Amino acid sequence: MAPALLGSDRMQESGSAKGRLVCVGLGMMLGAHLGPRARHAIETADVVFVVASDALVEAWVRELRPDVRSLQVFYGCGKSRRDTYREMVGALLSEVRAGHRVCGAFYGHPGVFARVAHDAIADARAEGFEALMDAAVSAEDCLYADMGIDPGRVGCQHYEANQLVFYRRRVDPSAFLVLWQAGVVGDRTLARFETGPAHRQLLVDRLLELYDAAHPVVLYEAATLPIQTPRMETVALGALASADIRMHTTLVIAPAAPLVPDEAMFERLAAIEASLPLPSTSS
Amino acid sequence: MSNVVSLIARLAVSMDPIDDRAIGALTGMSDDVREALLARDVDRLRTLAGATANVACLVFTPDENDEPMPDRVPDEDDPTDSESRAA
Repeated sequence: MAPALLGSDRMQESGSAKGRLVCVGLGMMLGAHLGPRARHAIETADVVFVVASDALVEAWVRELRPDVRSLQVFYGCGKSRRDTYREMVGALLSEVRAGHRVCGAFYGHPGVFARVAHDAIADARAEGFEALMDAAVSAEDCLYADMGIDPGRVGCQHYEANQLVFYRRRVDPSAFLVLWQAGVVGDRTLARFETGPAHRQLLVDRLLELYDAAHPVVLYEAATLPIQTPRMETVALGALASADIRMHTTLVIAPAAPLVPDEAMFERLAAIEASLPLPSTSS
Repeated sequence: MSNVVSLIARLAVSMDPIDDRAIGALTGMSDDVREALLARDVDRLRTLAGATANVACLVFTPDENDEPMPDRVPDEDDPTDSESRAA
């Protein structure tokens, strides 16, 4: 049976030459997470751009599409990432404006900590082009599987690490706390790819308002190749500033406080239940 | 060597442990690729795949137009406002 036509095929059949943008995710691990929709988009687009987490991943995408264009060229030493990302968006949009069906392939999920895809889609739509994002496997998804965390159990808070340094956020220590991009915490230049212990100490100081210095912090890194294992290294919060934290290291902090039952809410729920008829046991 | 990433992708779809036996069972690779896989030498694999570009990660970066949300001011007239009641 022939596979159902996806949007790009339908557009081609209708003869429309209007540009279109699809942003897809490669997932985190080379070859393991690419979904059929994303693969189809990569294989059938007129122009494919890629940002991968590893040069090997980019080489793998190049096997799918030898003419893929890497967005890595827009990075530069000491160059503001704002400029880099603006240029990446510009590259995607210029091909859409030229009437091409464009695919942006991003590692992980195209819309998680990946502002380029969001901005490109918003700009394309604002100019009247069709643009969409397809969900994919992100580092967060890998984290849950590798670390055995179910966010439904006690809850899970996610912050870009700078959110805790730059702003007064309210963290609930009875839930998991996951901090992303700790490797660049404290960077306001937007031109560094790592900061150091002095910057990290500011984050540690903030966390010490909520957690003991001995509280464990897991340094997590998803595996991007099947021959690798995920990094899950535990350090005490007090030693975090001098730990080996890389650009792609995520901090996972287990709850430090028990859940506190809300007795008043339980009483109100009991009153509601008492006023309702008992559920029927027969179907 | 172009088949390096294809070999890795073949390993990636297995739910079995990627041990030396699984790597040894792969066919169609040169001795140097096999050695690099068995040694889990990712740098060597990158070289063999011709994938030596300096790849940077996307780092979420706020837009210059992004401003922090203003501190929330409790509504003194709203009896349901918990911050107002706490004050």
